[in-house]
Amino acid sequence: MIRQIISIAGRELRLILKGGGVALVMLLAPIIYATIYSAGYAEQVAHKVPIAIIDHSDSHSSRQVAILLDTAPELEIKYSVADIQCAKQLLLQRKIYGIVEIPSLYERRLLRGEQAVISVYCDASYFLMYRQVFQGVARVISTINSSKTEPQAVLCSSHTLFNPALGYGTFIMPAVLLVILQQTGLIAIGMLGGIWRQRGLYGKYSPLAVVVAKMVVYSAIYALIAGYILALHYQIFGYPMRGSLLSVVAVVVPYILSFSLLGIALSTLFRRPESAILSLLWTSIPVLLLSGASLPAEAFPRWLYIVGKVVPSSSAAGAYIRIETMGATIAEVRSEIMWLWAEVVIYGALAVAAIKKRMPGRTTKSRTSYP
Amino acid sequence: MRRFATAFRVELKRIVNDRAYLAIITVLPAVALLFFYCYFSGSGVEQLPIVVVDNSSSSLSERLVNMIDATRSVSVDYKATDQSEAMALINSGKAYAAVVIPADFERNILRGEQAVVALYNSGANISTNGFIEKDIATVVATFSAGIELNRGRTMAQIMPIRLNRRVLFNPYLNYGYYLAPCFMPMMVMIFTVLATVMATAERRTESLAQLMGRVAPTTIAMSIFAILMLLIIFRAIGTPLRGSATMIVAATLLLIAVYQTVALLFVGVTHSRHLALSLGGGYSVVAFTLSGLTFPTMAMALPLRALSYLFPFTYYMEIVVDQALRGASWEVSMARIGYMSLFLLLPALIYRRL
Repeated sequence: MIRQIISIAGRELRLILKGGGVALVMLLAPIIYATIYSAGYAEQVAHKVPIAIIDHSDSHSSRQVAILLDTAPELEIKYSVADIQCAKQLLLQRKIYGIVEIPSLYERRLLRGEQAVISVYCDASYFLMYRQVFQGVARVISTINSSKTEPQAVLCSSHTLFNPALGYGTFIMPAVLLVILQQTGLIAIGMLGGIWRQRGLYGKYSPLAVVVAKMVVYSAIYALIAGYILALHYQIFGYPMRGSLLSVVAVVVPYILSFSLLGIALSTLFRRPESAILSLLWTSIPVLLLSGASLPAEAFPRWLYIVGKVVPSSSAAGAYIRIETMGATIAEVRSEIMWLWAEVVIYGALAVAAIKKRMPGRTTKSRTSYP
Repeated sequence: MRRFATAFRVELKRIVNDRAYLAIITVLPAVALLFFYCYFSGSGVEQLPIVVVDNSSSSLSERLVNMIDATRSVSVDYKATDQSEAMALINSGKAYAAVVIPADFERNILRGEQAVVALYNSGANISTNGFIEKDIATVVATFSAGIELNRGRTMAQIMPIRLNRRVLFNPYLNYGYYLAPCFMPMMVMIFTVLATVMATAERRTESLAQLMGRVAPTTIAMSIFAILMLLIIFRAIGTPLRGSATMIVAATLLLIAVYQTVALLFVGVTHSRHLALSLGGGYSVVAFTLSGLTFPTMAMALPLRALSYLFPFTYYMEIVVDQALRGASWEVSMARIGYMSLFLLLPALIYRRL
């Protein structure tokens, strides 16, 4: 048994390194994807979003508003235009992402002690721009208000506990990185399964030995890649690492084991290496969405979220974010860890059963396969 | 024409005899579109669970909690006795935020002193964060204004300047309207690239007509899925279509043609089916991040911004945003149609290598 395992593991390593496409998907793709995605979001927030101002009042008070808007970190007044039609043209040309309009009676109303109204037009076709423009303008207006009034009866003091800059990369990348590990893993392991079937390798060893050997090889490789991505890459891009090493390991170990075993079970379905790419590539975005890490689970149908739990990343992403971004303890992600270990057992059994099914019944070594 | 027809027929036979190839132009795109249809059939960001620590437990604090609970995006699902209990609920993923009402809340209000309610928002998820922050801040401001009006102050004294928010182009701030027209074309694009590689890689091409005959089944299948997809996005999900429907259909069909030529480029350069699939697949998956829809290209570092324009998908998303959400006239999108069309010339570079 042990000898079988060692011989399978050795063969698997050779297949990975010499199989051409496999090494690219398993070893390089995770690092390339991680780098491109993180680089895309490296700026984290949109600073100095260009806006236009329409100042009908053209008074001392209205110019004061304009100066304050322009100095807000989120905003930059790029254009001063005469009317809303002009401003909307600029918006369509993507030269600005918001419009502030100050009415002609602005200063007079303020002086008379009446309420003045300032309008902000936010471009909701880009959500991040919308948020920057609205929050920037709202903050400036509320600062002006509080300088003119007695303190409010009730004040809401708002604190952002983790990710205080509300960075987009810090928000989405932890889940994306975990999904990258799993998806490149599933495809690469599937490609190896295709090679196994092409070469009729399944009949040669006991199913249990095959599963154990493959699991050891894949887990070892992914432990290294995860080590790079979740430690070094994480540090390069400055993502929060508030969790203890122990709690990170407590999630990552069953995660790698469960997606490796799921990969081994799925890999028996592929007759050729490329079948794995064809069948699995598209699943990355659905898998990311099912984890509830981008839009929260409350936003899509409950049944879909529950079905999504069959993918290891659905449990791992939430747990990992809570550990690293929020500093949660092992006890606080216990249910996810238990679920991941349950998946290790289920997918392990499934992998053994699936490989047993591929045994050619001791008669022929190779079955028909496509070129 | 005969060469085209022969190649087309031969290709259909290949497809029927190859389960994986058949799947990527029939079953899998259908499953992918169905997935997104179900995903976006949810209610949107609503009723996010939060925890309240009410140290005041007075009639005024109770009223504030009820007002918070009544907002669209927030639901007060947990009451905690102290802050550490509330933090544990956030860390275990049960609550997204905590509202802490101080013990002297009612007393301060009755005495005419300022009461401070604290909102602890997680921030780990910026999409939930924004909704919670806005709704709770609005509720507290309304609550506060109510008290001050009772004290005999006027609205102009409470809030000298009122901010009138006008939401352009997506008035319901619906994430589905905004994400569905991005994710679903991604799917069609991925399958287009993969199927085109399957049709052309590791085969000798004798004539342009033969090449066209080989890729035509993919073009037809993906165009059908594209139309189906547009029906799902604009009819079933209900994304507004304010501009030119013709322009959106044209851009979507062009997207398919463009990504077919991109696939040919990968085939011509690599001469390997594996490699062309991996690289072509990678190129199509990355397009989403760089398209600027979630994180705007304007905010990216310059090299990334430049890179984003090497992806036809970036132009396509801008056309969809302009035509569907912004209701631009069709002329606005013509330049981008032109840029996308430039990608159609790519195979000329490597035609002799196919």
